Amino acid sequence: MTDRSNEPEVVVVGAGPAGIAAATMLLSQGARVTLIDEMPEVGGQYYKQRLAARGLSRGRDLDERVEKSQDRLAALHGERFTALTGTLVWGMFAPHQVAILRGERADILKPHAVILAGGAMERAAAFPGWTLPGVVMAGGVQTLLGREGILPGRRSLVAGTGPLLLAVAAEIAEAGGQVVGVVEGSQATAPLRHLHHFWGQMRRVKEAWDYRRILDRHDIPMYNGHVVIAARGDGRVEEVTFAQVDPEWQVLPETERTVAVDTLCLHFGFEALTEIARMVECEVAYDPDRGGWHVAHDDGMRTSNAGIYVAGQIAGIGGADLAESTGAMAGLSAARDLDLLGERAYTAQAGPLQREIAHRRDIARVLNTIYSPGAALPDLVTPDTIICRCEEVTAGEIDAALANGTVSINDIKRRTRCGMGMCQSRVCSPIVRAYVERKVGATAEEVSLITARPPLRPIPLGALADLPEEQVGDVMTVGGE
Amino acid sequence: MPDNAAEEKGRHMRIEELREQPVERGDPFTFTWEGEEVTAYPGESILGALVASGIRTLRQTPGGQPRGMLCGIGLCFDCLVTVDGVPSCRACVTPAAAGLVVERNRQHEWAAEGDRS
Repeated sequence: MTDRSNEPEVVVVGAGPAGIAAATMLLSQGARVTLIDEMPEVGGQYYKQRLAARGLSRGRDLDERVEKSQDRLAALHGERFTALTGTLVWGMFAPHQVAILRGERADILKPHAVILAGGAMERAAAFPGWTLPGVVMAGGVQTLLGREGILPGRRSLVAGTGPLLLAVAAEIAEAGGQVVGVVEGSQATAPLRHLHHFWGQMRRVKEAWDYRRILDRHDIPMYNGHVVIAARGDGRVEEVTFAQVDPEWQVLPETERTVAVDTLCLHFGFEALTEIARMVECEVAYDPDRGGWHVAHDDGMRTSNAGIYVAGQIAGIGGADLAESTGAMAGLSAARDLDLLGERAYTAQAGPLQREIAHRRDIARVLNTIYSPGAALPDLVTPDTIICRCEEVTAGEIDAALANGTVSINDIKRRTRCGMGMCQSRVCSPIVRAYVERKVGATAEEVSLITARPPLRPIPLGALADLPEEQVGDVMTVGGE
Repeated sequence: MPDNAAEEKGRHMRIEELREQPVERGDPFTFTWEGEEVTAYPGESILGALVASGIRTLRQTPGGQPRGMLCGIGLCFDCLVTVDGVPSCRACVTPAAAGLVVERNRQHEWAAEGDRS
């Protein structure tokens, strides 16, 4: 085998569309690439489910994407490529060391550069009954259905906001599940106002149109300008109430409807998973056009830290196409900074990519504007509604912290334990932030983000035995918090 | 603190399977959930197999609330179960396998309760 230890090595964290595109670009420029993902196979949430579901073709437009993903994966091979699947990235240490866990063994990788492409997580919303079994995230249902061919329940309501609602409702119905309705917070006319932005994006429009036709065929009603306000049941969801809202998502009186369901699929957009970048103090920025908090970067996807790049949703919510463009761009910039190509070659390739990114960001901005949870969404919460599911912290306890004059989410965490549980605040922190902004009129920047510390996921302490002492020290401090 | 185990079990017996048809799935196998046999197919997660059998409640919180699947992609830690004696495994990212003994996450509940007292 050739000795390749002199060739620069780049670690790509996250093997979805962004990570795959970044890895492909880096390989084509001559770098060694290690692509890491927690899941057992490459593909991320977007490709993976379709790959695994190949045997269950349903003749939907999914087949086209499966083919596309197979093309993408075909490029990932060769001596310079390593895929570490089933591998957890639990932290980063300065300047750009990556802490991983494979099986029971922890390790620290020290590459020449790192591309962070860990994606996003679906946003939930808190309301009475949202912790009941049967209240699930819509994207999770899509994964379950795509990967395993398993329906979440017999009768579902799909609620929240965003294009994903239509896709999930259509997929459940096509798979033989009953969908009693799609409850979309955005008003029906909102997309029309922005239609001109979709010029040249007929595929996106057609996709939405296809889903609508599937919904029509299954007689699934669409409730635009409606929001789910409560779920009830004895130990599991049995009925869900939703109501009409104004453009701010303020509930309109006497518009409530209650439906009997065993499943409520929620989706209130995506939240970029920025913790890993914040752990090494990469700058973040808040911008509603980008779906909120995301990792700040230049035109080449370089973060504020030399040697660390971002790609995909972590750099702003925008879907798979944008993820691919930003992935390629991040890979190209890393290759340039490692002197794998000259300035002229870089500029020649970066130009078209940057134009593509700008165009796709334009579309993303429109979607993020139309499908953004209304400011009044936190009003659904009652004082005894659980906000932090892990530590079972109620809205009333957060109110008490706010009454003490704090608006910082880190302060609220210290006072209430909100965000200290197993999920490391991934589920509750967007909800708490929106709640505090609404309650006391604070800005997103004032509320800020929960400080990110290793480990990003619970890991067995025994796995740390082989690590350098100062890094184990960091982790232990957090464990003892 | 209401326990929904008995009720869940009753529903589990009645519910028709939630697996999409027709799909090639390979040969079925079984594992146990709270002592009851559950059927699974190759490629399924523990969560998938339980959901397909109509089982929704996977654990009780220290506060006595029932919990089950939420995010489905390994990030929320709500679907924690005990697998072959190992507590706090995420059912959604743990593959189902023949003969596994899967139970409610009691040890985690005790630990969490102990932590609070």
